[in-house]
Amino acid sequence: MADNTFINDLSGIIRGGAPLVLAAVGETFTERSGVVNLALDGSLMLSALAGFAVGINTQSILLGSLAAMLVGAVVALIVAASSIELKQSQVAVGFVLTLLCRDLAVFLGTSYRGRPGLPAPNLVIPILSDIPLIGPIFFRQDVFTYLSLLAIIAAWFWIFRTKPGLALRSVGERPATAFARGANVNRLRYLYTALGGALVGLGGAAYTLNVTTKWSDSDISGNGWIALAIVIFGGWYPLRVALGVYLVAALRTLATGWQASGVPIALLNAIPWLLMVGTLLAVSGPYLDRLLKVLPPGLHPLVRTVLRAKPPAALGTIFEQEGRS
Amino acid sequence: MTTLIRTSTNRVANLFVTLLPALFVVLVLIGMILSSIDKDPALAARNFIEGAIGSDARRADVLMMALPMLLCASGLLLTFTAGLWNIGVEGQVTMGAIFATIIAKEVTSDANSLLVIPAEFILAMIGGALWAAVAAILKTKGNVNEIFGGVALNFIATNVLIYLLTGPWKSGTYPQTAVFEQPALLPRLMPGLSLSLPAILVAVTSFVLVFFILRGTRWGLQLKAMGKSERSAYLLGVRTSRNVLLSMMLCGALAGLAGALLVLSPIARGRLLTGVSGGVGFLGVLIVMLVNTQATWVPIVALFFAIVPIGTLKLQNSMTLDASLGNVFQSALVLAVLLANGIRSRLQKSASIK
Amino acid sequence: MRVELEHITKTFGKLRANDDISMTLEGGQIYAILGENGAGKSTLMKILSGYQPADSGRILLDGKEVAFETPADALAYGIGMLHQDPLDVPVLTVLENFALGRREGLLPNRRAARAALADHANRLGFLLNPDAYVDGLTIGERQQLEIVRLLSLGARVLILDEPTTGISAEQKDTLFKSLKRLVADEGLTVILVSHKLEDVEALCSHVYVLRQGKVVGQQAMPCSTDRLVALMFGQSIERTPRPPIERGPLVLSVQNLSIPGRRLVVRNLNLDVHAGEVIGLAGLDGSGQNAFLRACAGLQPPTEGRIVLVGQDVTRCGYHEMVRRGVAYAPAGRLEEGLVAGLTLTEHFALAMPGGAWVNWKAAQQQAEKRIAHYNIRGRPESLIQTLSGGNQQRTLLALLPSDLKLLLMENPTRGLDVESARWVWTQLLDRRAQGTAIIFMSPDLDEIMEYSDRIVVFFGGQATLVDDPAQTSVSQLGQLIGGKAV
Repeated sequence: MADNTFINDLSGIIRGGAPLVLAAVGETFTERSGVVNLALDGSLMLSALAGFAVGINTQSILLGSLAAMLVGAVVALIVAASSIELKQSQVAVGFVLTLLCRDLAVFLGTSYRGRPGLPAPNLVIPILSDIPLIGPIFFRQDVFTYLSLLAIIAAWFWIFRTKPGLALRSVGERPATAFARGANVNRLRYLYTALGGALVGLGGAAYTLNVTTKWSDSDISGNGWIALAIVIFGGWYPLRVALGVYLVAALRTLATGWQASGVPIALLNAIPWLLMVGTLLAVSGPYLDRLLKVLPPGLHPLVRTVLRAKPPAALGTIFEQEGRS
Repeated sequence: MTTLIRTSTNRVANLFVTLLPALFVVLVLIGMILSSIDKDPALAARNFIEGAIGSDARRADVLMMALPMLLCASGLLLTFTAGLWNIGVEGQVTMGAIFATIIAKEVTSDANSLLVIPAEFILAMIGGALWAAVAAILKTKGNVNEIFGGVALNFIATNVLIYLLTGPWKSGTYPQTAVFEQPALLPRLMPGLSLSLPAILVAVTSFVLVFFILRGTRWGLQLKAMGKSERSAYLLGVRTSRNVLLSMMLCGALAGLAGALLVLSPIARGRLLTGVSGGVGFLGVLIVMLVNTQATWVPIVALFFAIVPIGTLKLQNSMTLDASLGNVFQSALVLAVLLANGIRSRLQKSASIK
Repeated sequence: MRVELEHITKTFGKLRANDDISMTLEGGQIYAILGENGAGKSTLMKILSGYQPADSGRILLDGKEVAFETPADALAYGIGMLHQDPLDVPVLTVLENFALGRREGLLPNRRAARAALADHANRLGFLLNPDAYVDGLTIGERQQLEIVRLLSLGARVLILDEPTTGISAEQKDTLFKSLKRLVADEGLTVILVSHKLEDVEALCSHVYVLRQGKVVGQQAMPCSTDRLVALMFGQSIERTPRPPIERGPLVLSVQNLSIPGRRLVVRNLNLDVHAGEVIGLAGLDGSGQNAFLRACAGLQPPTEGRIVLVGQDVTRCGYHEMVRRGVAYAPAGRLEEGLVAGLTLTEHFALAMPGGAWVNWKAAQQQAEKRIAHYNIRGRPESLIQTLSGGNQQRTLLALLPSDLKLLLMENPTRGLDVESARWVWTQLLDRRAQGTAIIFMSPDLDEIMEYSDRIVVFFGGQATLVDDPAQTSVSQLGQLIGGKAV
């Protein structure tokens, strides 16, 4: 019996983490191309609303998801265009945009509060779902969860195993080199920002069309920031990013358990934020160097890969071709 | 001094060239949104203006509403000048409100308000400054970006607030404290109007203080150098880590004062509630971004921004429009100005080439 | 392939970087584009290799006019350029950098790329480890990688921009041998952009001399050095005579110093520096000179050893403390590290001036005017520092230094400066030297090190070798020391 609850919990974690996985993997693409989308939180809310509204008005999960993806892509593209065409700071535009999208979502969503939603269909994958342990966790899920798992694998494969992925990495690290090798830096930034934004939008849809099946801005608010922090914590590696999301989801599940034993819920809600600060401290602070000093040199490469979080060197910068006006 | 004045006049012109078109565009867009949900934009505009400045009482409300924004924006002028994104200002406001409440809720009806009110202010400043110090230390010692530190601390502050209001400080059925006794609250200047002298004094003094810090002190120049190039400033002798901590703490103190006003001012509820910070911190950020970190324009913009919540209150009552429309307007305006700045620079650049 | 440039002009704002330049380059030769810093050589080559468009003029390859949109375009036509700071991606491996930009399908063919890399590298006599990370390579090795890459993609014209700065004598040897072989065996054209006469004399068969954006002459090699110098500068340059100075009291004593650097560690460094001495630090990029300078400035704590300044142990002192004790550190990146872009000259002086809490703007402006006059800075007190030219920024940097320094640490005093500004900088530095300041500087330019140093410290692999009498050492010997060869 305890076995079953454990498997249920794990399955719930994978399911509950799906929206954030989509958002964080999407942001990984965006940041790898050199653009930081600080509007993620607001974008997540606005696209969640769009998905919900279109979804229940058309009674179609597909159309709702497409609407959400469109909103997410547009918001991200505004950040990219402000930086590339108008030379404004990505942080400044992103921050204002996150407030605006959040305010828009709250305002436009007032008439959608309390209305029943549209749960996403479950899909049990034959054969694979009968594998003990792994089967029930990964292969008895809904559409959005499958998409999130696909996104992790596709992102890893694309970034690290393909030619265009190599080009993407060079754009984020040293745009001058990418340009010299024939890449159109700004066009790629637009493409990957749109892709990342669309994934964020899909994550938003995953909230309202699956996880919560209702519109409630307070439920979603704040998760976008956690996604941004997880991208850093994950070192811009899709697999590590996903791990970070599941860690947060697991802690939330644990927290609901503790609530039953009397810990005030308000303090439990603070846990994801403490975790966020903790993970950022771990990867950004001087602790990595101190840890390396203590460990034998043979372990250094391994520890570095697991814990290092160096941002793409050109993140947030504007790429200007020399000598062109 | 002459050079400083000369650049100011240029900025005036700049502000109008970008602000007015941006304002126009945003108003048109909002009008379109209103039409799409079957609300008459013209009627909304009339109600809004009447609700905001239609009577003495409303105008007093606008002034009082502007004071917390002025406090936050003043503090943020310091941190923005130093190149910091003190997004944690919301949490610092909340903490200021909480710390002020520590005294306020213990005050009895026969207390001396001349002692109580300054004590509340001081405690609020301490609360805000401490909360800001956490974010600053996370940055200087832990290399955690102050945006993320600030966001996390904002949410943690909200959680602490909710915990207090649903737990030890709860009074009655709703998550809020009891109403504070009169000596704890800020006194009205005259009956019928919400104006309160201590609040006005504190806000204006803070702004003037920040203004002179930035214009005339060595510390202000150091902050400016840090904001432009942290590395070069350090090599030129500026103690950058210490200044990060100091500027954040000073901003936190002013934000804490804003929090105190949001609880004790005549336009507030006279008790601690959830959502007490009300987005005032973020509005401060927007104000400073709108004026491009130029101190001179902050009071006027704060007044302008304060008109919005007062006016939308009337809209909510008379036309059932959610008050969040006001927030939409404010953030849309700042975004439009940012974009307009970019467009203008681009047009200028291509004009100079021809 | 014959390359013809016709009437190339390129203007940046008010500066005419290239002014109606025409030249013809036949295949199978090694050409030099010679000129001092700021003459317009790099700009011209960037236009030829597709990095920048010219404002006007034409490029013809074998008689046909071509226009490039991007460097990849130019490479498709066979023109490739090696930049002074090679354009690679430091966090990727050698193999990944080599493969980046190759015309292939979706999935990279690792094996083919590995084979191609090994093949081309061997041909040129280069040793490259495909799995090494580029941020761990020396500049010389990064150059080799880029050359191999360009050749593997079919470059017929190879442009090298100041390739010998910062590489060892051994690496330079290898490079020159390979270039000669490429030209002789495969008929490639090599264009060497340089301001170093000895490299030009060693390698090239034709020289084009640029001065202030124009072609002022062309010569077939061999020809006399004086002739080239005359073309480059318009007159023969005079070396500033360096008066011998009495060695003053001991200023700095470094004992058994070990410092963690970016890649390697400086170990067991011992050095005594006296007032009025100029010590030059030579070595490949990242061999430890930088770490040593920073340690002396208090910017980097050493792991072992002691630093003693005028008799006091300052090993644990931080940067601001060292400044109080009379040490100054002038970084190479003027705008990135030394000056604050966005601040005016007056504000810089106000920042550097001692004083109380309130800034006396009037006094600061007067101080700025005084220093501007004294240091001959082309700028006004209210000018923003980034609007000044590199030379004037360097003058400002020096003007900001306090007057009686015990120790002046300079990272690269004449980086990117034209000859006149460089000479002015050294006049100022020698002035300070006469007043008793000890100066330690590093520079990738061996000529500069040889000319101005009383003593030289050569860094290689974290170890330091002291050269007590530069007058007895030749530049080539110095180059070999830098490459690790004992002399």
